[in-house]
Amino acid sequence: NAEPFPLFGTPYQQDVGPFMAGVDTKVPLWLAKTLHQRQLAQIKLPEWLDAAKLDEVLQEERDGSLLSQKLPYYYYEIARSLDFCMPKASQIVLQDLIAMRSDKLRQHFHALSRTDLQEQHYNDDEDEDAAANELPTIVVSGIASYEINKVGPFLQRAFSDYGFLTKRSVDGDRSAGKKTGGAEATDTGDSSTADDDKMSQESRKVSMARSRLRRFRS
Amino acid sequence: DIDAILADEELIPCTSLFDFNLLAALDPDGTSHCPHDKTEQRTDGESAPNERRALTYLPENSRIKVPLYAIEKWAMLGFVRLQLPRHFGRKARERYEADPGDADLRKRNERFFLAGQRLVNLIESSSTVVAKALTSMPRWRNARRLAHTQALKQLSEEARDLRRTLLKTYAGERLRKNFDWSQSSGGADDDVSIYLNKLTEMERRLYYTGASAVTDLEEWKLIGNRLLLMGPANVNNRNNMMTPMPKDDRSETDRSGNKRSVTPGEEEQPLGQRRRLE
Repeated sequence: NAEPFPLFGTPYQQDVGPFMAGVDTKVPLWLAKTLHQRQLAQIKLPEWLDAAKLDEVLQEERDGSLLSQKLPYYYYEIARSLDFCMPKASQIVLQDLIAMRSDKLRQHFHALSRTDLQEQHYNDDEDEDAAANELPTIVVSGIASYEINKVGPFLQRAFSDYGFLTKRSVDGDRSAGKKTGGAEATDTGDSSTADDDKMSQESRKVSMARSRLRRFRS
Repeated sequence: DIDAILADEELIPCTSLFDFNLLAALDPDGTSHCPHDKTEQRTDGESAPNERRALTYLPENSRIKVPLYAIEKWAMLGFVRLQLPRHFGRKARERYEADPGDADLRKRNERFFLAGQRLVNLIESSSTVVAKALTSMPRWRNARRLAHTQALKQLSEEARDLRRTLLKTYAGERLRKNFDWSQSSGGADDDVSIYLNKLTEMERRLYYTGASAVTDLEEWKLIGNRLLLMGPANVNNRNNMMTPMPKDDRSETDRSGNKRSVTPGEEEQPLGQRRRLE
């Protein structure tokens, strides 16, 4: 008659179990590692960490242009946690997989830089609304936490700077130190009349100042 | 924003469209405001104020260089006609577009992109405002108005080209190189100064962002998550399995930090939970 037992031996901790010897049970990763460390259980690796399965995913990465979606989001973190019980073959294939995925993201970014990021500005004269709607994008379906942490900060900042360089100034909105990232979509409908008023005020100021100067000169 | 403040120090060449009194200091090399012929002819004392006025007088069509933050208002009022600095001019732009990767932009201006962007915005705004004001000029000044409008149009086109060049230079080969360098940087030990010396401040920050992300990731790979340290309240708890207590230590500290002796009964409690499951 097995009963749940307190893992940490204090009344404050949640009890775990009961576990039957020889019976496979699904537990959280942290519990599996703890039980394994105390030699109370053996870890059975998830299916996707099998060398053959990883090979399939690697082949899919090689053949396709997009990232594979067969891996879990935290695949690297899980694999790293279970590194001690992973076979060598799986570790090698996983390393190849990581390198392949990183290289794929790199190639996508390079392709974006060569084409979309530089062509964007050619639309600035004609259809500004269309240009604003078609922002440059990279398809990253299947991206995992590892890749996001690796390239995410750089890409975030790069796009922010790009948005700043493509942003047009609004009249009367150029105070010193104002730098906003991202392509802010201006509400042209409501602010067009306000912009017109501002423009007419500014142009009136300019013409008044010039006429005063002319009178002073004469 | 310190970067914007420093970018505004970019010297902008411009041409004055009116005579300005007391501003001759803006053009220290100009001779038109110090007419030598007139001073030689004067011999009486009454010429001294005229001479002083002539010396401080900045005539129309003087070419001066003024920082961006100082010329902004005048440009919006149409007192000056802006020009692009040499490193933003047509020839320089052609060089950047031909070989953006090797261009030493930092030598031109540490905040090259920011200054260029602000200049372009200023030219676009001022051109629009002044062009509108010119339409209200009297008809007998048509020639002057046409000349001014033509100059504004030319300047706007140059500004538009400059915007394209800035974008192309930033988002092209330089960005790809920056990505590759930052992702392959080995950490703080690698000497990347050869590469960084050519980058502007904006690009440097981008590089550091990428490199620090990679460095943190490598560090995490080696060290992993930090161990959770126990607070002082848990030090007494001998049943806490995260930190095994040394067997020889017969004393422990209580919450107030004073050591107390351990009773024999407490020592016999097992530290690990090595029970047989029934």
